[in-house]
Amino acid sequence: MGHSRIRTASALGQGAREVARAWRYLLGAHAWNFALALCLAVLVQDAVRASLGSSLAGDRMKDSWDSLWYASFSTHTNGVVVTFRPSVSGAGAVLDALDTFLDGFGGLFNGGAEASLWPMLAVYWLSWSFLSGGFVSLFVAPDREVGFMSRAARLFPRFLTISLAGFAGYALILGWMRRGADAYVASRLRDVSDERVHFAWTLGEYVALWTLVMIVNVAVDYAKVFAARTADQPWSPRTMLAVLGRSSRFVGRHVLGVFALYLLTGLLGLFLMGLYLSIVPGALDSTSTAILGTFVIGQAYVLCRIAIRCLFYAGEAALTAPVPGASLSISQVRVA
Amino acid sequence: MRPSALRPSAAIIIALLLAIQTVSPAVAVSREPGNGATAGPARSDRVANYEIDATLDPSTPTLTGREIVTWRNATTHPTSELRLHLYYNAWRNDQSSFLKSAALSGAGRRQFQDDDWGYCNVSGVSLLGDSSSPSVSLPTQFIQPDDGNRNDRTVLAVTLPAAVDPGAVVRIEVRWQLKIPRPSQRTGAIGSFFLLGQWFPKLGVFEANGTWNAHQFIETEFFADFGVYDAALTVPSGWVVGATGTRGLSAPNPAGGTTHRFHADDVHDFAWAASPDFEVHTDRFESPGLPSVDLELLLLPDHTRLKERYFASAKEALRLYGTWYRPYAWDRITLVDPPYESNTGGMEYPMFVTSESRWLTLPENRLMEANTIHEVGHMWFQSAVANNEFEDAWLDEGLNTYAHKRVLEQIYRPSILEKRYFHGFIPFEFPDIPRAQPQHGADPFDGFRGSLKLDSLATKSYLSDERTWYLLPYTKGSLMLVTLERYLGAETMRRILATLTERYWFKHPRPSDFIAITNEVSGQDLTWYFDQVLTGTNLFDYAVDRVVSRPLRSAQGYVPETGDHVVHAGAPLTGSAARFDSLVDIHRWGEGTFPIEIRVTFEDGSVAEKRWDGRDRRIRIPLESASRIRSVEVDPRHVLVLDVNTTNNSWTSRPNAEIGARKWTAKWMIWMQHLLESGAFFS
Repeated sequence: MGHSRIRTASALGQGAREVARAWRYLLGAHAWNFALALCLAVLVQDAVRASLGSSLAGDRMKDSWDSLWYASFSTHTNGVVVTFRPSVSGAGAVLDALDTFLDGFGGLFNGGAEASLWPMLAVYWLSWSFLSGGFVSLFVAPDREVGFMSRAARLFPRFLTISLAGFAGYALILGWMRRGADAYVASRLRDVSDERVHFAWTLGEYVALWTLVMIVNVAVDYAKVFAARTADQPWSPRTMLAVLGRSSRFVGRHVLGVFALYLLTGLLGLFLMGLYLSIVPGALDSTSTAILGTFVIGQAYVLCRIAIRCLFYAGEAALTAPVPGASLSISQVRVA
Repeated sequence: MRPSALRPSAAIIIALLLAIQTVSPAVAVSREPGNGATAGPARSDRVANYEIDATLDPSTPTLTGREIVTWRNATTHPTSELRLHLYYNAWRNDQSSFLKSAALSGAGRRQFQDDDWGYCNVSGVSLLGDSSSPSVSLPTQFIQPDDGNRNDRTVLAVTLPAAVDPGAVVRIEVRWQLKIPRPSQRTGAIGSFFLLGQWFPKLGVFEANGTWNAHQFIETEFFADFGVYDAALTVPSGWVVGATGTRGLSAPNPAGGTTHRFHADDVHDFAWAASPDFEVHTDRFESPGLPSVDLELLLLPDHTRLKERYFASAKEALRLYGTWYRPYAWDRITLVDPPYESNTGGMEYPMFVTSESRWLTLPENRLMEANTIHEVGHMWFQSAVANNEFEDAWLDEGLNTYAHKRVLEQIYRPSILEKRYFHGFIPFEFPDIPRAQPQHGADPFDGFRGSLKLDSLATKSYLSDERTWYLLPYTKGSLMLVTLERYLGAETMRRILATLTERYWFKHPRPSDFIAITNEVSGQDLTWYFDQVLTGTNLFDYAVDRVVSRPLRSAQGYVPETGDHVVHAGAPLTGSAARFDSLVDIHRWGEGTFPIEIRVTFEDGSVAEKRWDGRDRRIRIPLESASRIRSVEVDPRHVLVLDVNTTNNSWTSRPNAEIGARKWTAKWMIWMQHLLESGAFFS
């Protein structure tokens, strides 16, 4: 089997065109994200509104933030409402989520405030195992006259098993290995009193762990692409391993291209995040128009995040595109 | 390592004071300090005086010490016993009362490593004699006056061969060795940083009623008599030492290391810090009308950029406390910048404080300033006005928290929300979001769930629930005083604290003394208030319960003006006769009563105010006005910051709950969407 020697930048450009063509599905994915969040937001809004009642605290919350109201409110909350806090304002919404992400969603398992959200996160995780099938299939074989949902449904068993395998890898790294790394770093720093040294070690620990996470992530993503390319062929646990092996070999042989694609999409993501953080209003949006404007900016950024993930899929699809005329079979991706 | 030998001057003092002891007259101790400094005129009763020689061995880490304690029986009762605190035995093993209490409360460490343990081993206590009456070794035994835990060794009773009569002086020599644990309760060692507080065998207080006040070390702070301290501290050469008192000579010790000498008059404790990593910075506080104070800052390299902020905040504390209450009591102060996660920040000892700071500190973050001001403030409320923290911790912590917040409000902008990301290393500020400070209100304790009812403020601190050790003395104590300030006025409150410092400067006030001064200065009997807030656990919650405002209508029924015919439907009054009939119900949900103000604002901008003694469960206020009620506020000036729910203190005819909730839920929703997206990474 031969792969085209397409350059990363071209793959990204080609991916961008594919993503642009898939704008309807992109909006659909965003709508799904929106709908899930909205279900919980209704609960939060009811709780906040009921607590504010007819008090003048409502005025203060409209104009800015009432810390005394919140002090009282937070003594009565439970369930998902526990996660309501002032740091969700403006840039905080992104930074809070990013911090949770980098922490490997530790709060979910350590009794943190986010623990109440795990069912919704599980649903979303599952739904992206499904949706990613639709997107990857679309980017791998855009010409087929098959609907998005049909593509996603057809690939779902393959993508779900690959996702589960990936999840096991992530859990191993951010759970078991992380605990070991934490203990090691703590022992090394036990008698170190300089905070800069603590920071450097913690940063090093994160870089090491997240490098491993990235490797798993890349392997899983390319496995999905290969699985989509062999969608017509039978699927079994053995072939899943073969696909993962093929993906790993591909990553190994094209380290620079794969890394460059990861880096470019990552930088694009960081650029968009920086842009968002620089323009997002804080807590002073008090008119309906301003509130709506802040919300729309927020939604645009969420949409961008989804688009970047899809761009990454599309870039991977372009990077792994076979030479015209060549075909790919399960036998070719079988582990030797 | 051996402690260095006593200096010749100390031997002379021993002989002199032994003579004093034998004749038993009531004399104030006056002696020549060992470092060459002269003890100044006594400002305190100088009951307990110490000469300490100690040598630190950081490698083990241990400290070997020898002290001569000169104690005068300042009571009218004889005693044949002395009691010494050996605080470091709190970390001797997990059977100590301190660690058992910590374990029961869930606050203790789950796993101990070898360097977590510490102890204070007393190898000998002797009654010092002279050539005619040689020194006598004294029997000792551990006692447990508070909980009877036989395994607790934090109080040592020393039996004297004869009673010390009132006014008599006794001198003892104590030899001891410390194993220094990792920091706990703001004493200990981490790496090459040593903070030594409560490190030497320290006398309890023999009180006027003829009993020893020497509690075990469980969940308390401290209490001791004033005196003169001379310390010779030997540490490895090249190390920096800062301590209570004035720095004396530093010289190489023949046995190794360098001996640093310190002298302090009229202090009731002595603490020190040592590290080779300290940068030493000095500055001088000068302000018109106030005596100058030398400042010494021991700063760690990762906090170098905070140097000016440290000095500025300490100077503001010296200026404002000095102006408001009384000038600083001594002529110097040492500020120690503790290391990251060392559990040694935020502690006060006379003339010596530890603050707290972070490597990355944003300009509006006032953690370091708040800590510095608070701890420097303790030089007034604890170091000079030295209440018994074993029993009445609120008296200094509450007063000082109240006072230091006043300083912060005076100098800095209101605090804003800050969140630290990435394991707390990276700070991020939310400039639009004010952060609630403890003195702003009791709302965090809403719900009558009991945290403010676990104990009364008057519960002896060493007996109080471990869950309330911070909440009551600091938070409720300051809320009690902020309420008092807003009720009596800021100037009256200032005069109350100034009077307290004037009368109890270098003395030991009790809560009853504070109450008496408050009543005297304010010209009011505030027993009703202190009974509820200090000795009682009443919660306060006033609320707008119901507001009705409707157009006044012409009368219905048998109306005299119509010849007592029945009028079936009253009509709204219109034009210039248009009036509104209104009703406001205010409810007292809490047990606490407090006189409050009620403000009613009408649509036309007019305002009606009413004062209510707040005693009944409910007050109904009927109002007739030219326009409808727009809003009602209970306690609009927020005098009663002890109110546990200020949200129900107001009502408005045009509530913004809907838009406020929508706005903040929209923000929360965006956070949730990002969280979902982050989770999708792992799919």
